[in-house]
Amino acid sequence: MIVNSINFWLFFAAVVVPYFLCFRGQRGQNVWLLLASYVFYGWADWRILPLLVGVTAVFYGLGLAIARNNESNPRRASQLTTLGVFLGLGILFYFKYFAFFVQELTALFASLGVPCGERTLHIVMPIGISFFTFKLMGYVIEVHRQTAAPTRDAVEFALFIAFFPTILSGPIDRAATFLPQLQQRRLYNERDVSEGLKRVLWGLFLKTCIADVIAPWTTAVFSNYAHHNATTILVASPLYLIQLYTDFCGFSEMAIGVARILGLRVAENFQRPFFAKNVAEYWRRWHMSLTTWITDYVFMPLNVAFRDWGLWGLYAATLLNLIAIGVWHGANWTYFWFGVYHGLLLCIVTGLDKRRKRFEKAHHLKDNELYAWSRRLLTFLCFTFGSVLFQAASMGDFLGTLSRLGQGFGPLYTEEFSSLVIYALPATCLMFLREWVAEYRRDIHFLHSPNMLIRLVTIALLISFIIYAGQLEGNSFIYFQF
Amino acid sequence: MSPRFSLPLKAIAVLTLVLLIDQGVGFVSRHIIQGLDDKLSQIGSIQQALLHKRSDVLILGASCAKYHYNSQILADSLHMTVENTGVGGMKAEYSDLVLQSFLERCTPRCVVIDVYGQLDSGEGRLPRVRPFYGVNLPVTNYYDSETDWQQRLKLQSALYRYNGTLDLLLRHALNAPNRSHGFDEMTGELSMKDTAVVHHFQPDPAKERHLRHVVQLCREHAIRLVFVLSPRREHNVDQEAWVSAFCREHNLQLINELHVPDYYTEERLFHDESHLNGRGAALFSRRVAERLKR
Repeated sequence: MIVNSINFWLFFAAVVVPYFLCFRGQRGQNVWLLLASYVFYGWADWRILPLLVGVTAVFYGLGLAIARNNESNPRRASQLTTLGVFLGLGILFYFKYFAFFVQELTALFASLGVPCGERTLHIVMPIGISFFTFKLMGYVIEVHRQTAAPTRDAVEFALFIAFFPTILSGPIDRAATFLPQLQQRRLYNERDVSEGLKRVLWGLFLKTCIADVIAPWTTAVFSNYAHHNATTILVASPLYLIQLYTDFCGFSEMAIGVARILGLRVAENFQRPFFAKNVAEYWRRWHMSLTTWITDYVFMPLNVAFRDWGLWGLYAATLLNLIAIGVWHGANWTYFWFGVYHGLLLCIVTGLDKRRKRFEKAHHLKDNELYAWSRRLLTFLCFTFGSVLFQAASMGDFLGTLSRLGQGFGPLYTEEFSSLVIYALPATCLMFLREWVAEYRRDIHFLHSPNMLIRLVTIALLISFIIYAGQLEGNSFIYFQF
Repeated sequence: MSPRFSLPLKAIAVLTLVLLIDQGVGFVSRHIIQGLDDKLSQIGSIQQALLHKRSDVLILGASCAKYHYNSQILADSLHMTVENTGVGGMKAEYSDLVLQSFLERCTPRCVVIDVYGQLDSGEGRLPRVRPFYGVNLPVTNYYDSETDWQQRLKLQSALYRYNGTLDLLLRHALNAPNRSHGFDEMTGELSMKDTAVVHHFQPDPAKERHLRHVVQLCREHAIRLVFVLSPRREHNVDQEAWVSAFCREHNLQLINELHVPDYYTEERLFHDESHLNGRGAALFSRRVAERLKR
């Protein structure tokens, strides 16, 4: 039951009507939302539901114990926090990485001439595990740091972890901002509902009219890279980055919109990353709920730990931070090297920062639009290269794809390419226009125009375009696999 | 306007606008698609097969049908009218729908079905027949009886029915007129390679049901039905065995060109691994015609 399917919207209607009409207090609303969240999660994979409930109960207890010991016994509170973090990492490691490690170790021993026998582990990876374990770990750290108050209400905590719009693919919420919202009754608010619906609509547009239209072509190219020439690979690479962005941003918009209809505000995940002028800025705008989480809980402690090493310490912390982001996506060497690649890029950007500023000052480039756009283009190309690594099933596939660039140019692979040009191209232009307006021209409005007629016509046209040009078969989202 | 009710009113206004656009686009699209001229484009081939064509010999199938059966050679050899309705990516449901549509207009004397790809799972390019929902009876019946309620609900929208047709219409406009009765000649030669043998074949039960329906329709209308296995560089042994058994079970003629050496040894007759080029198609059509004469 995914957010771009009719089933989801029937489910949501069945949830939202009693949510606003039948409950006189926040507790009833929370219990109802928690039940709905467990039904939603169980619908995806009921076998994992006991795990979700179990770890929620353990971390709920840990949170209370940490809070009790924070003042009276800080050492014990630290130990409990460490236990929580290791428990979270352990769950993540077992379900997501263990089979990979066993397989890699077996291969390593075999290459050294130590036979270990064939071992293939079939561990079912719980859907959304990377998202809810990060919420759980973030909670105990925040309670320990006293940046979030621990909740004594088990339902509230369980709802924070299992909240159905965000459990499968984020955004990764923080206890400090989410839990207080559950402590008051949410009333039906037209502004919230209207804003929520607009975000859902925009997310649906990104997903169905861009990501899902591009996907068949890029999949056909990258899954058969050996049959394609440099021209096709060079066209498919930026298209894949746009597909990845619109797929994930589309989901995030819909999740945020659904939460907003329920009167809850969840973390933002994207802020127009294609307008970033360097890699560091790009990462501040891309999958923000993950990058801020890792910055707060991985980068900052590492930066403090490495501070004696000066600039090299900063580089080391940056590199490890990006590797953590990379391997968060899954157990594959491609994600590790994806992290290394971006870590190195960030180190270069950090290292050249002063020189860049001096250069800009000397040549009066600070307000030069051409210079700014060339920086944006360079950043986009850097991420395009990274996305080729990101999509590859293995390092062999990645190197194989790169090797095609050396095979020379040729005719573009045009099977099904016309639908890309006719539907995805105008839709992508519209997306860039909207993002450009949001970035630079806040006086131009379409979906939020003060003129009701413009607003309604824009919405009607967008809905019609989605039905006419979108892929409406309820395709899954790329980030569901993480 | 009371702020409490403004959102529902706005929602009604938006839905009314969407409905107007839906009906407007639907009306225009329906007229454009029904009035398409006979061209070799995908939408043109589908429209002609479902709404207009008549012939003595009907060729059914996917891309192998479209590229292998030279209608002119077959017609000249058999002294009958031949219509090739093959469309790349289509499966047994489409063949069934085309035969049902033909039977509403005429009764062919012979139906030739190129089996390759007909029993593969997945819907392939079948959504391309959605514009004919409500226009063509077999298509309407198919969607009403064989798809889930969500699909039927979506089909109430004219915009959805014509979803994805704009690029098909543009490609149609750029395409050549159909002077070859549906046959599309492939150019280019595949450099010689050895043939490969694969084993896995799992027919999709829904496709098998449609194939059986084709057999039943032909039997009911006393139409000669011939199954054909086209030559290809990859021989699926299991598929070949399945088709042979199916033909034996239903007492059908099978023309098996998979192992005819002429295609693989003497000349470069392939366009790619699974499709013959123009010369290959000519040889193939002559051989099929000879077998059909018997």
